[in-house]
Amino acid sequence: MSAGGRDPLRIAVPKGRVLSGLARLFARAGIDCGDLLADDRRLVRDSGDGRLRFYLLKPDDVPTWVEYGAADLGVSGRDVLMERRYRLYQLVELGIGRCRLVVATRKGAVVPDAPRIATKYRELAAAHFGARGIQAEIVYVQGSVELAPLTGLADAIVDLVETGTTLVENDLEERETIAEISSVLVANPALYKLRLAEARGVVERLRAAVESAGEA
Amino acid sequence: MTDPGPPALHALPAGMADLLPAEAAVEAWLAGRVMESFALHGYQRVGLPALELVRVLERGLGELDPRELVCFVEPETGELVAFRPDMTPQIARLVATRLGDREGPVRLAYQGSVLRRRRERARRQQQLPQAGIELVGLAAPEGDEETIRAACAAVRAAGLRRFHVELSHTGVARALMAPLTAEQRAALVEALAHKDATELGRRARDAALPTAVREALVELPALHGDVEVLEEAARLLDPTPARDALAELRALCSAVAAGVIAPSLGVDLGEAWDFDYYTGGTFRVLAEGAAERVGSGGRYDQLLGRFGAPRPACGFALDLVPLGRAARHQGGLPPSPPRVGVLAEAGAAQRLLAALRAAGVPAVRVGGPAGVALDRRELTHLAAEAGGGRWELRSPESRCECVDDAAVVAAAQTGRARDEGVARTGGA
Repeated sequence: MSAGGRDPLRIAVPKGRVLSGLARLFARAGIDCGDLLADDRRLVRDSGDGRLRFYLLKPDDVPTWVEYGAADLGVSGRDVLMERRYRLYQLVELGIGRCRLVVATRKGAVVPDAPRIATKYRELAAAHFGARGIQAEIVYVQGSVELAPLTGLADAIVDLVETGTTLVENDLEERETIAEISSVLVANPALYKLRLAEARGVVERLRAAVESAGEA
Repeated sequence: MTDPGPPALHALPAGMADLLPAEAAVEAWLAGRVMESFALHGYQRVGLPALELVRVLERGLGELDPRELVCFVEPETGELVAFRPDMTPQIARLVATRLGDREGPVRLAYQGSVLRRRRERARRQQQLPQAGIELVGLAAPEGDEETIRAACAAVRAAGLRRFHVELSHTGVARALMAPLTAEQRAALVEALAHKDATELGRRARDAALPTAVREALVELPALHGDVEVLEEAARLLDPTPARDALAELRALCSAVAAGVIAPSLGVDLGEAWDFDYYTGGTFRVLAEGAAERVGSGGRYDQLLGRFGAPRPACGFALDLVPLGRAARHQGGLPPSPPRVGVLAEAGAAQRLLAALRAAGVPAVRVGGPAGVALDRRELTHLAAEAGGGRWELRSPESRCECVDDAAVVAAAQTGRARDEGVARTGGA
């Protein structure tokens, strides 16, 4: 219902490792994303045609921007969406930023009946062990999670693994996969509906690009 | 260890907030306009208690997640009591238990706050001011159309010109998922609510559903937009048990479109975030300037039956906070009316104050004995004394000035000019 082409569509994107894959996906989708990858410190970047405006955020913050409506669309890891249950549309699984949420321990370690688990994913870890009848003590840590089993902070960790190199280098091994993770295009439900024509244009192009990549 | 010091005096229970005069005035104005509009449509106001027994709420809302409620055990009775998270079950209880013998439709309106805790989400516990209506005893489609008409009139009364009404039908997804267990349905509804086609596809793959039903189900997240989407929906849903629900939705769309009730109309076949008690058509109002729905409603034909008095019913509630944001964004809020500070000796001041108040103009006395030819600094000081904000200073004897917004108003020279002064203030 809002007049098209008036304000740019605002897309919250994660700074860091996913961004280059995202720029490639936009290129394949034929969407101009301007200087999204420019090597400077600007947190707001516009597409060349002025129709899109990108906000560069810490990955965990993307859903918050979108849920409050400070951005119309966003690109977020499914791990964050599962952990914090946002009221967002999760419109396209983008196939980038692929990794797995796993349980890992020191090599060959015996996990006690009531293990201590170090993780950033409190809800997902508690739900995973709870469903198996294991009363785990969840220890919240924000980073260097791999260090926890080596230093006696925890018996196991629940964390994201991309290639597994970090685990191996820290003498850890993967025990279970909790979920396969990739980046998801999310939308604020109200703003998506109010700017449906423009938002859907982006959604459909990205979906087509993801599908063609899957077939290739 | 450091001394924690005395408890902070500014602390509030999580999610609670005060409203200062400017914000309180906006909320009161919106609530007043909306309730007046509801009253003009025949809806009579009722008062509802802030607290309700959890078992009563659960009768209406289904099993509640205690993490999303603010509840406690009432010491005298041992009953679990909650601050209401929704007022519709209260209306259902009220109508079923106290107005059960009324014949014909019952039209009720209410205004108040609900309290919802949203665990681990961007927005935590919040007190949400609402105003709504419930229409009991009128079946679809007449009841739905009347409710949507009253809802749109209320939205217009709140100053919105640009808004979008979206229609859905809970029967669509429900009919498709009918053969499944409650657990399977919950998993599918969660993916559907997020329009997460990938996850929905994964979860539907193993569900024991006929092929046509599964194909329709996984297409639901894409079936939204203009009412033309109904054609595509018919192709997918007509061979399935969702056919009747779709026919009802089409009838409702035609009625609302033909009546030109809303400035913009759409449909969403995959909407799954509405309350469990809805049984038929549902709708929500979206408006530029608000990043969440400004209101929502729908049909709940089973709810009164759960309280022992089965009757068809539907209702609608506006969320006053996003409504206010949208109204402000669209320039629909009225400017705050000027108030008058009267500067005069006691007798004259009281006469002028009485005249102003009788004309509906807020007025207070400022300063001491009659002041003449005050400078700007003194005027500003008097405005602050009167409570800050936008003030017009007025005296029977001297010049009158409007301070703060720096406009200058003509003088009311004598007591005789009072009436003229009153008129000027009204139009300022």
